[in-house]
Amino acid sequence: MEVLFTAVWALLEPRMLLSLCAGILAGIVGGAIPGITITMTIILALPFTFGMPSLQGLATMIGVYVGGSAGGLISACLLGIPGTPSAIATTFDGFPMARKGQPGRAVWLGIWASCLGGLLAGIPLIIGATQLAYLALNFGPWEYFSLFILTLSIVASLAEQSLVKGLIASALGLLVTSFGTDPLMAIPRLTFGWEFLRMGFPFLPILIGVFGLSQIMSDLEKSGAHGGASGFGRDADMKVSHPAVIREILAQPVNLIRSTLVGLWIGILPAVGGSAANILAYDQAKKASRYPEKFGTGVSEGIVASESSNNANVGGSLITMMAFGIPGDAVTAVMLGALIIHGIQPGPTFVVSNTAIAYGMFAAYFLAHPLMVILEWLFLRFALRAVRLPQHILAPIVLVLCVIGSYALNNIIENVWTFFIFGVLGYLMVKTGFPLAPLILGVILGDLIETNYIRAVMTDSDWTQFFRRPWSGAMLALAVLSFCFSLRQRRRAAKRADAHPAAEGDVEF
Amino acid sequence: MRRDTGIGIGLLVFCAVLYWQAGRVSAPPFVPIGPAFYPRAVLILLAGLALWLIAEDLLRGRAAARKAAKPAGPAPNYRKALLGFGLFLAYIAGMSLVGYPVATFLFVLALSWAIGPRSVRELPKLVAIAAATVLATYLVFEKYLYVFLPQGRLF
Repeated sequence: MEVLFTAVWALLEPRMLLSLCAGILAGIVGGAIPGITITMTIILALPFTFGMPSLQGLATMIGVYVGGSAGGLISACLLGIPGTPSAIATTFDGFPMARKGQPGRAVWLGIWASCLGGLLAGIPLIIGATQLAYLALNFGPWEYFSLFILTLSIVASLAEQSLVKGLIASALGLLVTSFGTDPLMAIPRLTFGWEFLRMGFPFLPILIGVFGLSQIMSDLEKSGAHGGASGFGRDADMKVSHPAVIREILAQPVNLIRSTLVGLWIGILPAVGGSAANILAYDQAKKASRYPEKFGTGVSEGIVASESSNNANVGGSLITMMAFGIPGDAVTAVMLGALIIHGIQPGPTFVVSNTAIAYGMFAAYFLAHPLMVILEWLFLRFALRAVRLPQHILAPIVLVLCVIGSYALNNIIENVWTFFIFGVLGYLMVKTGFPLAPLILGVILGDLIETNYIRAVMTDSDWTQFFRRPWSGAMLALAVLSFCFSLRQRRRAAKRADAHPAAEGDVEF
Repeated sequence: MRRDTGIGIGLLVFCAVLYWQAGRVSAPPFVPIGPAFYPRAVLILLAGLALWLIAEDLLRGRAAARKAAKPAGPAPNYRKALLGFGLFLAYIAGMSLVGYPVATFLFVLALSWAIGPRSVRELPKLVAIAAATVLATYLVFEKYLYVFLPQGRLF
């Protein structure tokens, strides 16, 4: 506890506080603009953090994450367009409530629910990340290998459209790490004699390309779709009684806690993200409600469920990232990249050997929530103005910042080419129904899987160790179970779809 | 040929080329697992998955493809995306030639014009935005954060 208070105190230093607030504000604005996701916002913030001390940079990113998770609700409630995928379910009741003449109540119910859900998830974040990290310290290369295989199998199985496409995306990600020198002996491979490939593909330009460029290009195809959006502008009446709003949320404790737990759990699952959390929490709230038929007409339970879950999801994602070095979603994947840039090796030793930074991150998470409420109160009008920025102005500026983000990694133009190549690959994958999250996770885990497999085999050539060691065996069994379960679910869904064909949805970024 | 079948065949060819290339790596003696082991294992897995994709696509049959409803919403404007990719490619290629400030100014102006309403009255605003983007990024990154932005051969 003392370490946490020391970390809070360190974050109250003006320079740190300013960075955290700047991150939150950027997150709110980025989250509020339809088409700019939290991942995109954090990618844009990344180059600004390169020159900062580790904790300051990470605090800025946590600020963006928390601010972005709450920022999406502004356009969801006032325009009827979710600013980010994690605010989709907020639209269902937020927009109808705003149209009934209560835009202030809709927005502030969301903001306060985000704050409370996020703060509630902070406690499991500290306990979970620390305890899981201590557990993982006992892992050998067999357990790590099995853990990474389990992670990949879960992510590929959760791919929305096709299991085989999820698996192919994972395998492609693993393959990307094979280019360049091998991680153990530094022997070049798959270079085709080309100097450009000798050092392999750096992770951050891949990430920026896959999520940044491909998304902007996909948005260009749909341009005009958001342009004519009706709704409330900066003239919207946002006056509201804050004590009344807080009382309204606290009057539904079961909904608040259940949605927080849903968000937390989805966050812990690797690479699922807030988009699934808010819809699942909304669905659970509707099923548990005494008046489910009123959901979708502007009831507060819907907004509270969606918003508390998407901010709790941030806490869950941070648990997986800090305990195992596995990203809970694309945003924490960027944070992992930032940790490596600052010379910190993510993984179970992170919490134990970098206590000051780890607890600084916990403290930044806690501080970010009340600060988010204050900043939303101060800058809501500004965010409303930013929501209306036309795409033809926004897209080129965002692309320029993506180029700088890739280039600034080590000031070489080759990184920008990597960004472009993977941007094109990401775009083609989106267009052909391949999910992007398994690809990125494959890129993150590729070297780790290879290194741990070789270490395990070199330590003991008996490969049955992977199955005989309890944790390793259990995780491999879970990986097989997750795969079989997903196969069964898909067969059932296919049978249902044969009976009732439905339109295919958008591929999620 | 159906789309997923085409992708599967493309992946098989890709795997074959990389498998051959992985075999050209010289492995040091007395090492139980050489550097070619991992890429080859992943490539075998990927080839297996590509076969699964092809099989799934063929088994699904043409009738199922016909049954699938079209996605809701307006039809995608691929021309704009293609234009965006083209301009972006020219931007990266041009950066080595004319340097960051000129390339960025031209790129922001060209892309915002190409995907915007294309009105002459809008042009001064777009020029101002392009100039402001260059100036702001140059000051923040080059002068404040010491990121030395790409220099061109000409400027």
